[in-house]
Amino acid sequence: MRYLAQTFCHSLVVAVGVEFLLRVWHLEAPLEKIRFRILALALPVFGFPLFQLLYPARGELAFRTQFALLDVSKWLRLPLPKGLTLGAVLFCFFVGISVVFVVQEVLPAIQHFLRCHKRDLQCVSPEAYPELHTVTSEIARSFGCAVPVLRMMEEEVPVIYFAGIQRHALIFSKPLLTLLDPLELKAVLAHEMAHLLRRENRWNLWLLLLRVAMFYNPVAMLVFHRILKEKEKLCDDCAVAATGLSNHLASGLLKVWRAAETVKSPPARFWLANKVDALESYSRRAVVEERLHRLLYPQATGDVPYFGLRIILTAVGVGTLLFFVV
Amino acid sequence: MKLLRHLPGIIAPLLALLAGTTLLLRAVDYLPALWLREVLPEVERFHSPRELEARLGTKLLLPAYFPDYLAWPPARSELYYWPGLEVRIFIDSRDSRETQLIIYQLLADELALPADPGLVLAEKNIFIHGAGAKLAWIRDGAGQRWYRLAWRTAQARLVLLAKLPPGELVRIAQSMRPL
Repeated sequence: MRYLAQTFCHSLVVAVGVEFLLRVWHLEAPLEKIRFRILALALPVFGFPLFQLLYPARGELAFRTQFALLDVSKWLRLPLPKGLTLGAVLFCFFVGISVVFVVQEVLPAIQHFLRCHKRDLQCVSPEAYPELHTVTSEIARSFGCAVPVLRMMEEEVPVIYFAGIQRHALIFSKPLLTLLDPLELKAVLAHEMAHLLRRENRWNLWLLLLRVAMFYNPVAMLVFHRILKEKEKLCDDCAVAATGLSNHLASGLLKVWRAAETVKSPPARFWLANKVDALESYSRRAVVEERLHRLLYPQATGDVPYFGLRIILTAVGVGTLLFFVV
Repeated sequence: MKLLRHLPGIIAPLLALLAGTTLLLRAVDYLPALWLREVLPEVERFHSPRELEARLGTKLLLPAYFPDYLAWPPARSELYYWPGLEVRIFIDSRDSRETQLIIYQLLADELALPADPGLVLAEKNIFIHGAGAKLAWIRDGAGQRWYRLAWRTAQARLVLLAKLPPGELVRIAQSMRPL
């Protein structure tokens, strides 16, 4: 329990510290934010074993009483009414977060994986959709990458995403082609191909491993989602840089999101599941709004000098601080 | 040169963050002490001070001078888990099995000094190895005399509470070191 509470505190300290530095140093570019937030996700995972390796006596009473800045066991032992301790309540909280993690993240991911693999996704030939192939080739040329394989899925809602870690493919549904006008389609395809160009699925897998290692940790959950959000913004920027179609990307994004929102899933049987769904829907809406705002009112983000030095100093400084949180 | 120009802008916020977080963490570490003022702590009991030292992972300060009429090993060696740690060692008389000396070692600054067993009649400032100490004369409800000697070392705050003569108590205090 002390390990769980300790890594939770580590996550909280790093996450708050990173957000503070992002603001003070005016780090606005998505890539810079992503790198700093990965630090916030990774430090608590690797920090604890590293600290124990460097100084095995770190967990002992002598260190905790004489050198620690914060000893979480003091909090865990705090008595509450009815013979409970704060540690027991915190444990229940972590169990709750783990359940949310499994229900909201693991199960949908497995379902999605199985659905994609069970279905025989049709490979789209250039002859069947010549315009689509022309646009895709055009974007691939401007990105300087190979034309991806296009696959179509049978779905009533407009869908587009890229899949695969070794062999990439752009997967879309037919309604997408009728919903979007050609320029919107080009912008949206460019966004998805930016994910592909950046080999995001491979990176996402590593991120997911970090997230899984902190499955009980609500701060890690927030940081993980913020990283994913920044990745979308980064690919928006890549798509706009390649096509110059920021307004079309915005309208395309809005159309796809609205179409997906109109197809409501049946209400869940549990009150909690409904609430979580509502919260997720609200969060998705907020993300889309933020992306639309960036696309419609772009703001220049200048290069921040010595980014590497900043991130190293932050890792060393905050890492040192975490050593004394036991 | 360019780096030197940017360095203050990089270092200053980072140092401010680290300093602010350090203070905040210390404050958060102190909060349970306030919460627990009125609550009984967990107590762990040990057969000997050596066993207690092994649990703590550090040496305790123990008297090198030990009068014959006191019994060793101590009757009780206890570790109190307040939000900080407190060690209590109870030493009995060899004959009567009555507590003659209690050694308190407070391992955290936020811990309050142990309560006196009665009315403080007088206090005197003395020195133990150059450190300022307070010697107090106390009379408890049964009319018995107690002496309390409190001072601070680099390792902990120490309080000796005894029914021994003050001269003997000071001698014990001056002999205390990690053994």
